[in-house]
Amino acid sequence: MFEARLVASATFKKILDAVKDLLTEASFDCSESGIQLQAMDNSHISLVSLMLRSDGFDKYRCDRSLTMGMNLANMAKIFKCANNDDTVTIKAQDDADVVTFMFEAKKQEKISDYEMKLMNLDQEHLGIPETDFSCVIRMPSTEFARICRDLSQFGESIVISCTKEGVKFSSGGDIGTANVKLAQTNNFDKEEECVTIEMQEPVTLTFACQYLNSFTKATPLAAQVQLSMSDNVPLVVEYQIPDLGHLRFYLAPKIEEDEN
Amino acid sequence: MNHRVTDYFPVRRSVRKTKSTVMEERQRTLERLLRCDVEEGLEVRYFADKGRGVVTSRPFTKGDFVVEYSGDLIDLNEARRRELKYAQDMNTGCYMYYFRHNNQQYCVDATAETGKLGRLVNHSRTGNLITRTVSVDNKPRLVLIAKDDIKAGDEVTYDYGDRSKESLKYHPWLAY
Repeated sequence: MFEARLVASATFKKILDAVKDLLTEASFDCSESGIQLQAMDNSHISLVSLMLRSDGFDKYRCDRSLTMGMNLANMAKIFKCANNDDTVTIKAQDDADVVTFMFEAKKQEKISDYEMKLMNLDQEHLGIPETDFSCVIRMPSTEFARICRDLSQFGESIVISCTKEGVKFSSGGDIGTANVKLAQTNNFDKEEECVTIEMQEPVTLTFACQYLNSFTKATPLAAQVQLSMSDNVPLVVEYQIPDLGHLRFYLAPKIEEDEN
Repeated sequence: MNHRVTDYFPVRRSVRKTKSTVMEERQRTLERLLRCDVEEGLEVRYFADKGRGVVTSRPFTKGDFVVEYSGDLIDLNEARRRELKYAQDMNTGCYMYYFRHNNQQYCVDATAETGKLGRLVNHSRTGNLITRTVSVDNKPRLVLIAKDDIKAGDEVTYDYGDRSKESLKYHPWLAY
């Protein structure tokens, strides 16, 4: 028996909104420690990794680990039927081929449940090693979304370069070039608005705009976003989901022309 | 052209878990069992030579939780007070289990006839259980864990650990 209850069902809506550009279907691995999802987009250029800890749920029970393959568009349809302030309960039997989503309205005068068929997805799991990154940048998630949107008008890729002076996002194309520089903020009054940079070694990497723009669909989940970079490993874009877990996107860098 | 994430991260062929995940899952399972007061796969048997004892009704695997030594969790002062009281009645068995947890001394007093099985597990210096302390909701609990694989029908025992002169005088069986 699997049962997970979350008062803030809107969190699931936001997660689905954040990943539906990249994934059409995905397996949710449920265990005693929580719900995890790891999946690559079709091109295998990016990877989504979601972790929702069991202690972040208002009720959580998982007698036996189970994997639930779901069509994310259909899951999003079901969550569209819920109000933002509804409580959601996700239920499945141990060897079930269906999952049930139950929504309870705040005053409990309305209960709706939706049953969805599960899919058997044969998905590859990647082993992601723990990495000490050369640069870790924290900044307001809305700022990051804005930069990605603005720069993608100029070219297909964004160069992110991090030095001890700050972080620079640049792009260029037929129109011309665009550069946005952010320096570390000295004002720590409002944590959410801070830009902080932890740098061991300077790094410059190039990424496809299309993917960065997809990742920023997760902006409503968190006020801050964390970018972690090292040479020769994918970029990690991480959104912390308060009290519940995190949503991470991994993006492989573009192949530099002189790399050939 | 773009690299792929699979260029950097290996595809995992098995769903092996890291050691820390395994430990974490084990701890959670234990906490759940303790919260629900689970006592399964055990029954009380009367032994002619030593009175009541606990035997298994199903096999246990090494490392499995077997039973909790449950009783009143008390501090040392309260334990001393109770020891004095119990000493006046020779029929009271010894059910006081002293232990350390996070650098603090505690005692679980299982003298009261509660129907719980942990208090009925007999002593043996070469027992098949070991005791461990686990924190559940910030309170230490004493659990008995299978030291080896245990067959169904075996008596479960553990080493009470008390070999003080005083105790041996009244309970000579503690030496074996």
